[in-house]
Amino acid sequence: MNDNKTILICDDDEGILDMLEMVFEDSPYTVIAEQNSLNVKGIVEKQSPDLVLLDLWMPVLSGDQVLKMIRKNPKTETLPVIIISASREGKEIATNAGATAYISKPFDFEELMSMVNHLMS
Amino acid sequence: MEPAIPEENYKTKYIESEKRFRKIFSLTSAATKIIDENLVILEVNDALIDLMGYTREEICGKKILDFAIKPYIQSWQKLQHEMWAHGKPFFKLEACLKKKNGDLVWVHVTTILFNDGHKRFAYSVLDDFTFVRSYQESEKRLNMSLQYSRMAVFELNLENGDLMPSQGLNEVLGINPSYAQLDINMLAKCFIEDDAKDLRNLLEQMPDESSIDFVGRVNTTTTGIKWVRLQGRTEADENNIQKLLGTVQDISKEKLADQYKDDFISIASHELRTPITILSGTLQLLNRNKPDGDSKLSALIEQANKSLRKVTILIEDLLNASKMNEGQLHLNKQTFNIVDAVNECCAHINREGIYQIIVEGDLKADIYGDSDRIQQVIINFVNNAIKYAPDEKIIRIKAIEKEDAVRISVIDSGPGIDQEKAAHLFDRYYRVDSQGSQYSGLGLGLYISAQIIKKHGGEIGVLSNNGTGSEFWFILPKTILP
Repeated sequence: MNDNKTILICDDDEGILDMLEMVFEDSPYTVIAEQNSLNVKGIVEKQSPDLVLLDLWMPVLSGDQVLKMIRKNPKTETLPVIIISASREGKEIATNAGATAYISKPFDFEELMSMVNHLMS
Repeated sequence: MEPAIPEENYKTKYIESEKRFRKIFSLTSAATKIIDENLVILEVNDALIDLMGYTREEICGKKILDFAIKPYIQSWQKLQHEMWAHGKPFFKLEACLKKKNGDLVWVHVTTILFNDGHKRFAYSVLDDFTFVRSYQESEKRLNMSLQYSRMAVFELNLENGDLMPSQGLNEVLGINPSYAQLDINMLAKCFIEDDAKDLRNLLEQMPDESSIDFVGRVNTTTTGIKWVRLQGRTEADENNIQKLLGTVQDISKEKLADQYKDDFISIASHELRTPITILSGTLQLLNRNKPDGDSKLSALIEQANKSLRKVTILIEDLLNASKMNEGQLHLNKQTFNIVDAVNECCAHINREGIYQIIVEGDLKADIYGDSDRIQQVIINFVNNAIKYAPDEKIIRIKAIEKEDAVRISVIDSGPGIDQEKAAHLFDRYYRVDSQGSQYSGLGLGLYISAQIIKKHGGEIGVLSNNGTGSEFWFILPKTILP
């Protein structure tokens, strides 16, 4: 039985997605990488990840919009979601949408890792 | 039957009448001439001599058209022909004559035909309207140039609030032209609420403040909200009443250009962040995966990281500088503690372990302002201290709490800065270069910091001198101005 904790990562940029996967390679977590923000809601419902890492500025469906949808579902109201953003304004948008935590690009891996570890415990 | 008037009386009456005419002719200030049916000038009065600058001898015997300038000759000739060939009793026209000294004079001409015995003569009055014309011309030119620059002129009486507008002020402000009475209140009301408040504040400071340069949004009746710029200087008029003379300009086009520029910079820097994030991440992974003890690889990776950090700061600066326009810097105000702020923004410096940041003074001091922006200023000061005094490992941040303000300063004991150069440090693009281009950066950091502090209603400055180190300081009022 797999009792590994899973992290769902969503970023429209392939390069960043690959990089994040590599970051978590040596960690105890299993990573689900998704490039299309439209698929996130479905994955959350079907696979119940323990933490979600969401990019904010994405085409079609932005990170805060996805987050709001996640929060609407009572099952995932308190699901830890970290928003990744490139701008200062993003912090406010993320908080308003119900983000658990916020990290800005370019980010420090140590910082991201400690944030994830903290939220997973 | 009435007795016939004896011939004697007719003669007397005629002589008296002639005398009266002569008197009027010579004394009137209206330039007058008498011509024969060949258009030759027979007599002129003193007023005409003064007008033309020629002597009597020089004018008499000539024709008036000899003195007219070309564009007016044809129409004048036509009227003369109608009078002399067809008997039209009088005519009027506007014409332009050349004086002896070459100056031009514009006149209203009134010519009247008269008979004296069997001979026909005419007398003309030349009414000089040069001054009025040049005033009309310059007013026309002014209005035209104002219109093309989407500008209007105004004169505001600072004592009673009366406003004298130029043609077009209503249009620039986007208000209904039927507003007959414009005063200082109506002017302020044209603007949206927040801007109206700012404008009133600025106007209240006049005439102590001698000039104003205000940019704000007006609520137009037809085209929604548009940006205008109000500039002016104070001046005391001849009755010693303080007036504000200025212009109002529609700057919609300029704002649009600004918007395009900002959008471009915003998009460009946003796009740049992604590859930089990947670069940063890849370097971190490289660092993590390198074989233990490989110091050369570590040094190379650190070198790459340093450059990457610089690029990141440059992009931040670019992005921030583009937002440093009026009304675009939005503050998220809250109360926060200075030590917390320093710890948050200087965490990475402390982590690296090379420099040590010490906060001293009133450690409990609370600041009311935008925490992120103030952190930006603090980190800018700290980065400057590191950049210009890299050998000094200790950077002190001092917090002093006063009754109505908080003073924060970053002190380094580096080489210091020339007092003269220090005055320009907060200007846009100014960098103190003591040794060519050893120092990198766009030179925007202090400019941005100054804008942030100004937006908080505070003050910023530096105390420094060659050889004695520098103290970069800013003061924030405890309550931000509305």
